Amino acid sequence: MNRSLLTIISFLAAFSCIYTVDAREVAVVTFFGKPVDTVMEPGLKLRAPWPLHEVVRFDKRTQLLAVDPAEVLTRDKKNLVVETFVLWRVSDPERFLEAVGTPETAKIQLSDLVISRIAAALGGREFSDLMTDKGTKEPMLPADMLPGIAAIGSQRLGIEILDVQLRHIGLPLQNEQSIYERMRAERSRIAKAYRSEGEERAQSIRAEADRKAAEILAGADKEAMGIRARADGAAAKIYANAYNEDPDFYLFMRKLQTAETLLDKESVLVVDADGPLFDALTGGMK
Amino acid sequence: MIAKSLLAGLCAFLAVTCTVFVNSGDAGVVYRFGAIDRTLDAGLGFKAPWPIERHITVDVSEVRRAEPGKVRMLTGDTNLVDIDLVVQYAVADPVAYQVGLADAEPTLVAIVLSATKNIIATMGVDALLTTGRTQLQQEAEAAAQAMLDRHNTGLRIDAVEVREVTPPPAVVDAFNDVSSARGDRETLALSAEAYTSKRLPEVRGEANLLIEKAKTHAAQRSARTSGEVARFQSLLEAKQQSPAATRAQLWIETAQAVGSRVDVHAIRDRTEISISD
Repeated sequence: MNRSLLTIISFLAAFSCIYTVDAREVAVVTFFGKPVDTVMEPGLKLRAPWPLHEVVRFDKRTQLLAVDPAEVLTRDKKNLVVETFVLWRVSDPERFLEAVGTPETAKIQLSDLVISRIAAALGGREFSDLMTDKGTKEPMLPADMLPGIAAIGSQRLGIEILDVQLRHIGLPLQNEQSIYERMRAERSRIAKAYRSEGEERAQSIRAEADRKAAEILAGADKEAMGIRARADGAAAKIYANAYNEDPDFYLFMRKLQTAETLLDKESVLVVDADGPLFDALTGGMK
Repeated sequence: MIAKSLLAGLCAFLAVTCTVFVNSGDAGVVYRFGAIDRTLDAGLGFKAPWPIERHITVDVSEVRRAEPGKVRMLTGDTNLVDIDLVVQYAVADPVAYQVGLADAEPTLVAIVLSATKNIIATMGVDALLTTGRTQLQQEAEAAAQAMLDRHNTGLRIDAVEVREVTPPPAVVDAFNDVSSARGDRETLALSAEAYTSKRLPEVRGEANLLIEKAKTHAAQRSARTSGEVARFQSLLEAKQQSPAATRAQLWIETAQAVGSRVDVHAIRDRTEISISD
């Protein structure tokens, strides 16, 4: 009886001396709460049975810390609202356990550290350096910022800081309003430019049409006048030839013709009763 | 008897715990005492029994979607635009994915937003709203992928899709007015062109009419002239044969023609004498 109990106890003791560390974890072995060993590599491990040794595990994967939005000032006193994120992981579990303890505490400590560094970095830059529509520019955060933060992280917190980036840059609400004002003014200027450009083009198209029309009419006028002139000239020549054949008779005939043409139903012809028209009648039987 | 059934039970246990069936499109990651030992491709695989080995299945074919939602961003020319992004991504490396990121999707979203913001800060609002969208997508995808690779996340971005770029609601009417102004510009030009295409044919018609009138005049003129001259010629012939008779005949004919048509008054010593009633 005693022997079998002893066997079971020793089995349990042996079993509690074996533990595994996952590939996604790091661990610290403590002896009555005091760290005595750090386990960085996964696999099967040995330890003294509880309560002598305890194993505290931490996630060793890359963690995302989304820092709360913070208002910072650029060198030219422009307010910006920045949202920062940090990629970090536990690199020294023993120090992490002593200095931080839990990931939640890590987030608070990291946030404060990062915000102050970001504020300092952006405070050294002009707003116009951060924004440009010319295609390329310097990175928004200076290259020497990350090593500075990383050094503090690893020395004080047992954390490796892999990256610090701005997830978002915005403006405080009251500054947004002034941007909107400017955007509206700019748009209305562009709209006006389009409309007056349209009017200008329309006017020049119409003017060209009118000019072409005038040209066409003038050309036609000239041609018509030419046609008339040639016809009149030809007629005059023909008449002149006829005249030259017998001027006296020609004039006589033309005069008669003219008289016949000129006198119509409304005309009143007053003639001498003894003139050639009636002398045969009024002169009696002479 | 008891030993036999125990043996059978052990065999069954081993069969169940040692075989792994990996669906197509998945990959199995085998952990031996917590350390990653190997991966299993789709199909039947084997592993040592629990508690020595265990496996985790990772879907490596599924295209996953992350939607950061609408984000207001500052453009390079200090305008604000609302950007609506969708990221399509997949697991490219199941082992790196297992040990890489604690929060894969939120980290991916943060990285993509950061890259997008950097690129938008180098672009003008007009380019963004018109032709710049493809450029934005490509550059954001490349920059985000580079960062994912740098941190060994095992993730592959298939597409950063910019679903929508719009001006903020507060200024959207001003932007709409610009597009309608652009339309007005075309309309104005078009109506002027319509005027041209109406005016010119009209004028050509008028011009033709002028010329036709002149031609008609010329034809009439020529016809009358030749008629009159022909008459003169034949009368001249008659006159050459008997001058006085022809002249008299012509004079009388004309007097009769005129007299029968007009109101004729004969006077003597300034007094009218009546011929008829």
